Amino acid sequence: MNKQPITINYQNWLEYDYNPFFVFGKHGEMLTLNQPAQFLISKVDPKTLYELAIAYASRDFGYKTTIIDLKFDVFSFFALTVGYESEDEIGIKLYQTPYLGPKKVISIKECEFTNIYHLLDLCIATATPRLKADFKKDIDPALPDFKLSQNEFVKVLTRTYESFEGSKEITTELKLKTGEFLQVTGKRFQILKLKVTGENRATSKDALIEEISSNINVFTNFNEKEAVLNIPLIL
Amino acid sequence: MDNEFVASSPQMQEVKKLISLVRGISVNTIIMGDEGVGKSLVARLIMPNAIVVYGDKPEDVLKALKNFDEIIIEDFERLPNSDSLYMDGKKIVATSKKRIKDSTLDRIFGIKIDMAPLVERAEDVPVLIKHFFSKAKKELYIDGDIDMEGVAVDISSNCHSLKRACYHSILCSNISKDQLGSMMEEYFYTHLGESEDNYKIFLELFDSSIINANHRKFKSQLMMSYKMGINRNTLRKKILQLGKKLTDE
Repeated sequence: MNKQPITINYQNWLEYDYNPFFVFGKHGEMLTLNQPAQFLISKVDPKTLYELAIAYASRDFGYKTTIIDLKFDVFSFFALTVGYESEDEIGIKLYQTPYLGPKKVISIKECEFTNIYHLLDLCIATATPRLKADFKKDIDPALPDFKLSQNEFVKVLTRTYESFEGSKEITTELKLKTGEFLQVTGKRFQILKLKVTGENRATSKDALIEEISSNINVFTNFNEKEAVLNIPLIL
Repeated sequence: MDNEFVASSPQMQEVKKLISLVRGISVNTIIMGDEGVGKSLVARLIMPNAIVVYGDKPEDVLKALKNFDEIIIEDFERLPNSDSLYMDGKKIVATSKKRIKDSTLDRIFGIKIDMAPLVERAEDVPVLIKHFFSKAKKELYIDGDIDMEGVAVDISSNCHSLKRACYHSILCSNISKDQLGSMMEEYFYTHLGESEDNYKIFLELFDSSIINANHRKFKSQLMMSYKMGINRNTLRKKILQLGKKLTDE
């Protein structure tokens, strides 16, 4: 190997890394973080990340990488590295699961101008006979028509409702997110957040819902009692 | 085709609502249910101007997919290559008597409409009978009122068998003596057997009809024998010979 001294600043490599990186003090206070980490802490409490670092740290001073599936809201990770060289600081780096990309993304040209309220009514009417639940709606009434692949979106929403089988009450919330954007083919679009909640939710169709959603640039996240669809408002 | 949606059951009101919601938007729909539940009618109400092709003729389906934007595929379950067909950018409404694979459903269809059989929506039977009678009267140029009580309700094939029963009933109640004579002649001619007891067989058919009609009208065997002008014992013997079980009302 070349003996030439290296002058590049390693810190910048961490700063511009695709993966989030944090350094915590001995009481769990955050000392530093890189750019991707700033996005992550909008979705997960730093205390959770500190506890994760403690749980996966090596027994003695040093570095340890563990393969583990982690999911925080829309972020998913397949591994983490924890390192500490003193009692005062501990660092953690999380490795984002590679985004393989949808098999076939529907282009904006193929989308139709859509009245979202109409599609909501259709999906609720389709799900009602099977689920026999009380459907409640809490929706922003002033949304404009926007471009969406109607067939694919109806597939996503009907299957999302079906996942709430066994719930007595299913609530649909629809509102515009402020200050957040989704990027579709290089352009930024405002996000419509459609949240469905119920007492029970089956996860068996999550992968399918996620796959169809990604084809139409809709991003999903699920938990035990809710499903969220983030829809780009393409005008 | 009769494009009138006739139903009063809550299940069918839900289907009616779905038709109005899915009509006019680009959502692929599959309509599932037994024979005669009204799948084709619902498909045509969703897309009245679409070309109609059948699953057992895949070459027609291919041609339609190439040349048209709105396509109704009847008997989708019989389409052998449904997984390999490129349907993007088309609006498809399909009907199927059988359950189709989840993977096919997920790939093609936005919504699925399940049509319940008539046995699960009894409220629809009287309104359908009324509808079929009025349609039959118009088609067959029959004036005047018709007694709908006499129809032998048959919902074994849902609307198909019910419609047949209504038309049968209306034709029977309006038949002239000459028409009946020629119908019987035609029936006897096509059913003449090789055996040597044709006369006995057909006479039994004749006797059976006369006895049934008299029983429907006069209810008791005493009254029947009086009106038929035959001895009560002879009547009882004939009833036994024909293997009938008639109870006095």
